[in-house]
Parts: sequence; structure tokens; C-alpha cells
Amino acid sequence: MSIPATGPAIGQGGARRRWRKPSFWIIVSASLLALMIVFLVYPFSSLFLKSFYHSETHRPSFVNFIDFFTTPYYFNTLKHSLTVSGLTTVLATLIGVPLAYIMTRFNVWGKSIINIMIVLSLLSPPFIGAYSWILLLGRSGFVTKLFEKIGIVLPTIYGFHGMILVFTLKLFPFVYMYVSGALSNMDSSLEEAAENLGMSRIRKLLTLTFPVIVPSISAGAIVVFMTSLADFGTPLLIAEGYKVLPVVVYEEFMSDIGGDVYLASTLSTVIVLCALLVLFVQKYIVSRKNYRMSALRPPAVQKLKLGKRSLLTAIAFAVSLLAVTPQIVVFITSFIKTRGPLFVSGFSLDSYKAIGFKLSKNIANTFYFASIAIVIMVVVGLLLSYVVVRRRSLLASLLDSLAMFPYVIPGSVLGIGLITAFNKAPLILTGTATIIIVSYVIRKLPFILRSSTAILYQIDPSIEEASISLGVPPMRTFFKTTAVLMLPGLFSGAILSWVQTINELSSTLILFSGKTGTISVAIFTEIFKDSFGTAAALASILSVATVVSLLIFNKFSGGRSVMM
Amino acid sequence: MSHSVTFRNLTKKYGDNTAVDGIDFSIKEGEFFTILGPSGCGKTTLLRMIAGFNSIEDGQILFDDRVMNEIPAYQRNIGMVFQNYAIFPHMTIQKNVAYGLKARKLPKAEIADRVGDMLKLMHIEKYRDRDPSQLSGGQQQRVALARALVIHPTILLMDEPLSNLDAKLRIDMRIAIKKIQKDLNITTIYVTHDQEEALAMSDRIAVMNAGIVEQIGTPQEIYSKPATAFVAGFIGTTNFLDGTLTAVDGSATTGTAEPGKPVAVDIKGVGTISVGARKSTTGDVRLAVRPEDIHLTEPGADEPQGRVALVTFLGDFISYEIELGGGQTVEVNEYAKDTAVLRAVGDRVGVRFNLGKLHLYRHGEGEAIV
Repeated sequence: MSIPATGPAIGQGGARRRWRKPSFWIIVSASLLALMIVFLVYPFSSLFLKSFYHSETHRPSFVNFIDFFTTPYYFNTLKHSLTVSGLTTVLATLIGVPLAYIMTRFNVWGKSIINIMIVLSLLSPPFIGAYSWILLLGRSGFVTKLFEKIGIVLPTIYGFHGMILVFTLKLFPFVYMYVSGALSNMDSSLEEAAENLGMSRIRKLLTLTFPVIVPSISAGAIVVFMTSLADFGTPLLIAEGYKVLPVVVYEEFMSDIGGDVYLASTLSTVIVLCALLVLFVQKYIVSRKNYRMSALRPPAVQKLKLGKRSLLTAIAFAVSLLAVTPQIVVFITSFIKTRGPLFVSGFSLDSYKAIGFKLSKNIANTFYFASIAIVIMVVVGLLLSYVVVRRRSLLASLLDSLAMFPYVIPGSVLGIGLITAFNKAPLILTGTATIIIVSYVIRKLPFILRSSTAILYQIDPSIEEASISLGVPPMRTFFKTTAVLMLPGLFSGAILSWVQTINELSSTLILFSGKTGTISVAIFTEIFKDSFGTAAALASILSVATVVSLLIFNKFSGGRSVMM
Repeated sequence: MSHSVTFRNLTKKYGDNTAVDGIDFSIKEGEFFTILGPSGCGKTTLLRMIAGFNSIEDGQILFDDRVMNEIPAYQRNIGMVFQNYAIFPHMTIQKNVAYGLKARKLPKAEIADRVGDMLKLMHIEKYRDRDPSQLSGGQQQRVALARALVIHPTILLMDEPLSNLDAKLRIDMRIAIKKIQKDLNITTIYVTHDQEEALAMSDRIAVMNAGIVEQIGTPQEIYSKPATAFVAGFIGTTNFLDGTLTAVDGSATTGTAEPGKPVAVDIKGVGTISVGARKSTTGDVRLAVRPEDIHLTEPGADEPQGRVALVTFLGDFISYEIELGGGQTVEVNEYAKDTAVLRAVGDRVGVRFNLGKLHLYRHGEGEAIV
């Protein structure tokens, strides 16, 4: 019954490599590396290198950086960016952590409704939040007018305050999600031990509960910091004179007169360096304080008396309602009758009809691009994670680090990097769908890789060895065992990437052309054309698509957390 | 059908660490052969080299007369049972067992027949359409064995297959595996760290330590004539006592043992005993004796003296820890059926060694001299 020992053998690493033709995985690794060099290393190294060249003499020089740090206009944008991101991070943490504690440890009413509101609030691009708050509190906002009637003048929402308001309300849910996950994973015996040892309630919180969840708090906080540092839709709408880095990068790059690609590169480099620095600090904190916990017995939910229970419920509802307000506003606005840029009283479907008339291409593009991107993400996630986890080598760790790099690249910088690299021979991609899809895949690469390696670590390597010893060659074994086992997890991870991809604005706004606009781009341009009705209708379509995707995700993941 | 397996100077290195160091022996056709050793001794590495999952740095593996070094794992026609069973979680029991036959592109009818027969042989036919997660550990173990055997492998490899089962089931499975192995007469290489399991199941055992084979033999040979101090310590319970060769009995006080001649050993804190030497040596030695080969007597006779330090009652026997002189202690077993006396901590006793069951090893190297 033995199998004849003929046919090409597929190497299993180690010493065998010397004699045999390259194995399937060597070819996969090499192809992934080649793709990364073309679409990641080449565009971004040339972008960053550009910041070290003089814009006129084209010689190596620090003149751009000297300009940046000595010109108050530019240097202030850095200060502004760091102030906004820093303050947002602090405020989001101060809201997210207590809310998570209240929700996981006390018998608050309507937890599922509160959670749904918070998840909903996460699922739209930040600039829609900015736009909604302008509709409410802007110069001719609904609430502003209301207060004017009774003689109260509200403080302006434009500028620094507005950004902080929008970012904090938009981003605290990230901290909430990470922290509530950690709090419900903490074994109750830990806190019981602290009580048993005589710790008072407050001191127990300060000495045990919060220190133990520091890694989760910092994980949530870093997402808040990165997102607020990189976002430029929000400041473009609401910041007005208060310039932040991504806005200036965009302006320097896009403006026909006085624009300076070299300076844009320099600003990009500065943002990426800031993001890298903060990321390293966070990694350092986590590496020193990482506790593995698995709750054998999840913490008890404390039963409160009516008074306290009502109070905490009211607080939780108020906070989550504020977070989801933009979605509600957008949804209602989309049905209000409009005459040109003006809202008039009464409801209608005019805004939706207008979209069907002129923007249906954008809707089709959004789903088309995101669908192709998701397929690529699943394939890349499958192969890349396998190379990184199971085929450990120098090449594998190089691929790993390269794939993680886009985590610190803001969307606008990503867009600029790709457009400057691919607007000339040999590879002209500007204005194509390809370049947008490439940008989606690159942006999601770190998340794809992390989620797919997490899945792979849960699959025992001996499953493959069993298959091989039963006579199935390694490559076929991979597709018959590990790949099949990874797919459900990969797919549910990819749906989350899909959600973020259909909402993507920063890089698309730089990369799109007339034919390749997406919904988010259309919303943005409609807002600037003062067509608030159509913008709201588009945003509603986006939200509905997002919710539907999430329902699919829940079906696949069996109620797993929506965080990646 | 079955193959013999031969290792010729087989070596595996991980960096500077030699996991398998010049292994050189043969396993007979149809034999149940166990590789026994502590964790990290290289036994699993050796097994994975046979399976083709670990590369070979030096030496050869032969199945019958055929060198296997360059044959990829999927062409070796080996049945392998993994420690965690490695059952495909996305397939039913039936599909798991049929997997290897499908890889061999056998006709559907034949696959169905063979799978059915194998499920019956393993007493798992009623689970054929279940998912693996619905099966208990023992049932999963049977599926893993069925999947490995249904392809009619020429060699069966088992990597600590019983270590995840509870004590009772482990003993049941020992018997089941042994019976099936004999019925099929398949060359079986079994890796374990459990010496009791090895003694119970094997035709022959190789005891491995730090990448080398310390001894190969039948279970009886390994137990009663441990070739090295390591084997004596690893198999069963053994007391080690330090001593020095003092004089060849009756003649001069040279402190040298000559092959075939009796030798006197001065055991620190115990006294001098006389045994016959097998190899020549001088100087410091270690004496090994099992708890059942020491007898406790009333104190006062010629025998060495000791004091009871700890009493552990274990039902069919009582285990005593006896303090001898010079800081040495021995464990002694007295069987309930042989004695009615239960000694107390602090009692003085005489200690008599069963001289026929003593083993003497060179200090340091651990090689047997008696």
C-alpha cells in the first residue's frame, strides 16, 4: 500500500532546501515581499527621502526640516495637532474607562441598547460627526437658532473646541470597548482576594483593578491618539483657522499655486515620526505591564438600589446618546425637504432621489472597491500570517515588520505617497480603481495580519503534520486543513475591515478621480457644495450598509467582540 | 507488509544543542518498540525524524534496506498518532478516517469498506457522523488510531498518545493498543516518558537521555539489569548510595576491581560489602538498590544500623525512609502480606541488602560495573 517515491518533493524547510526547487512557501514569501516593495517600500521611502532634499537644488539637505521648525505657521500646526490629539486621548479615556466600569460591574438598565448605540457611533467616519455637530451647533445650526430665539448666544463650535468635542465623542467608544473587554475578563477571585486582604473599595480599584487593565486602557488610548492625529476630514470641516498637520499636508500637496511637494513630504515625515514615537511609548508600557488573564469566574455584577441604579443608567444613556447623536441627526436630516442648500419644513425623499440621479456611480464604486479589497485581504491574511507564524525566518520577520508599518501612516500621507509614486512610468495608476484598492489593502494590512495570526495561533500545527503523514503533500495539506480552519475567522475579521473600508475618506479623497469617487468622497464634496440633504442621505446609506455588514459579522462570529 | 527500522549514526542539532546524538540501532519488523526518556531527552525529535518532519543532519534512517533521509513525509506511508490526536476539527469522524485513503485516490467503495471495518475494530462506528468536538478524550484517541491504521502503514508512530487521558482510561487504552498492534503485527515505535507504560506495553525499550541511548533491552532487562546509573534511577524507584572501592576481597588493599573477581565496597555510613565485578575500575562508585531489595531487621546484628525517619502507608505496602550514617537515606518497602509490623518514626532498625540485586556504577560516568 505504499506510495511510490516519485514526483517533485515540496520542501519542509531546514536542510532540505539545498537540494530541491523552491517550495510553495518560498514562492509565496517572495511574491509577498515583491508586492510590499512595489506598493509600500518604494512609495513611502521615496516620500520620506524627499523630505531630506532641497526643493530647488535637489541635493540632500535638512532645509525642509529647518523651515518647518522655524516657520511659526508650520511649527504651530505640529503643536496644534499634538494638543488636540493629546487632550482628546485624555478626555476619551476619562469618559471610556468609567463608563466601561459602570457597564460591566453594575446592574444598569438597558445595557444592550447602550451597547448598540456605542457600536453604532463607532461606525462612521469622524467627519460625519463634525458635519452633524455643525448642523446642530454651527452658525445656522438647529440648536443655535433655538437658543437665539430665547436670547442665549452659544459659544462657537468652530476651531479648537469643536475638534475636541467631535473627536472625544467619536473616539471614547474605542477606550470603552477595550476596557470593558478587559474588565469582564478579570477573574472575580482577584478582587475578592483584595477585599479579603482588607482593601477598601476605592483603594481596591486604584491598587488592583485599574493597574491590571492598564494595557487595555493604553491599547484603546493609542487608537484614539492615532485616529485623531491622522484624521483630516474633521479639521477640514470644523477647525477653520486652527490648522493641524494633516490639513496642511493636504493643502500643500493639493494647491496649484504655492504648493510644495517637498514640504508636504516633510510634514508627512513629521506626522509619521510622532505616531511612531507614541506607539513605542505605548508598546513600552504594555511590555512592562502585560498580564495574561482568563476569567474562570467572571466578575460579579453588583446589584444597586433604585436610586443609584437610576443615576448610573441615566449617565450611561446620556453619554452613549451623545455619541450616537451624529447618526441620528444625519438620518433625520436625510428625510427633510430641501430647496437648494436650504432645509425647509416637511419630510420627503428628495435627497435620496437626487443621489439616485447623479451619485449612484459613487455608491457602486464604494461597494465594488471594498469587495475586491476584502478578497485580497483574506488571501493576503491567509498567506502572510502562515509565513509569519509557521515559516519563521529572516524573510518572514521582515514581512511582518513591513506589514505593520502602515499602522503609523495617516490616510492622507498614504494617499500622497501612492500618488507621487504611481503618477509616472513605469507604473501609472493615478485615477484608477487599482490605486484606491491598493490603498485600502495597505491601510488594513496591520489589522489583517494581527487578526489572522491570532487565528492561526489557535490552530495546532500537528493538524497539518497529521495530514502530511497520511500522504497529502504540504501545499495541498495547507489548503485542505489550515486554510479551511482559518477562513471563518478571517472572514469575520475581513467584514470589520470592510466596514472601515467603505467609510474610508482620507486616502480616497487624495486618490479619487471623476470616475472613481466613493460615497464618503461624495458626502464630503456635497457638504462643501452646501448640499446638506444629499450628504445626509449618502451618509445614511453608508450607515445602513455598515449595520448590515455588522449583522453578517455577528452571524459569523457568534457574538464575538467587534474590536480587531 | 511491516518494515524494520534502522538508525545509522543518526544526529540532529538545534544550533549548539545536540538533540539526537549518534543513534545507532535497529527495530525489528512487527516489534512494539518504546523510546523512553525524560522530557527534552530527544525522543520526540527522533520520532519526528522517522516521520520526516525533522531534517536529518548526519547519519541515516532505513526502512528495511531503503534509505529514507530524502523521502518527504507524505511519501513515507507511516501512521502517526499525535499527543493531542490532531483530529481534523472540520471533518466528521468518518471523514477523518477516510482522509488518508482519499489522498491515495482509492475507489469510493473500497474507502467506505475500509473505513467501516476500522471504525468497527476501534468500537467507534456509532460516532461516524459526529464532529470530533462531541467525542471524549478516549474516543478521540481511538479515532486518531483508526485514522493512522486505516492507510495500512508499514510503521506506526505514537507520540505520548495516552498522556492526555485520565489514569483509568489510560490503562484500558494500553491494553487496546497492545492487542491491535499484535493482531496487525505492525512495527510500532512508541514515545513516552512514563516508565510504567513502557514496561507494560513494549517488546523492547530504548532508554534515552540527553540525546543518546543509555540502554536497549526487554522490559525485564531494563528493570532488573539497568546498564547505567541513569537507567537505574529513571526506571522504577532506586536508592543511590555513595561508596569507595577499598580492597579486593581477602587480598591486597589496592582499591581496584578486576573483571570476574569479587570486590569490596565501603559504603559511606553503612559499612563494607563484597560483590563481583564485571568491568575494571578504581575509586569512587555509586551503589544502586531498589526499595524492595532492602530488608529491615531487628537492630543489633552485623548489619548496618538505621533510624526510621518517615512512614508512608500505601495499602499493599508501607514505604519507610531510613536514615543511615553519613547523611545517606534509603527508601525501603515492606509488603503488608509479608509483615504485620508497622514501624514508628524514630525506631532503630537493621538494614540488609539483597546482594544479588545490587548494582554498582562508576562515579560520574554511570556505567555499570556489577
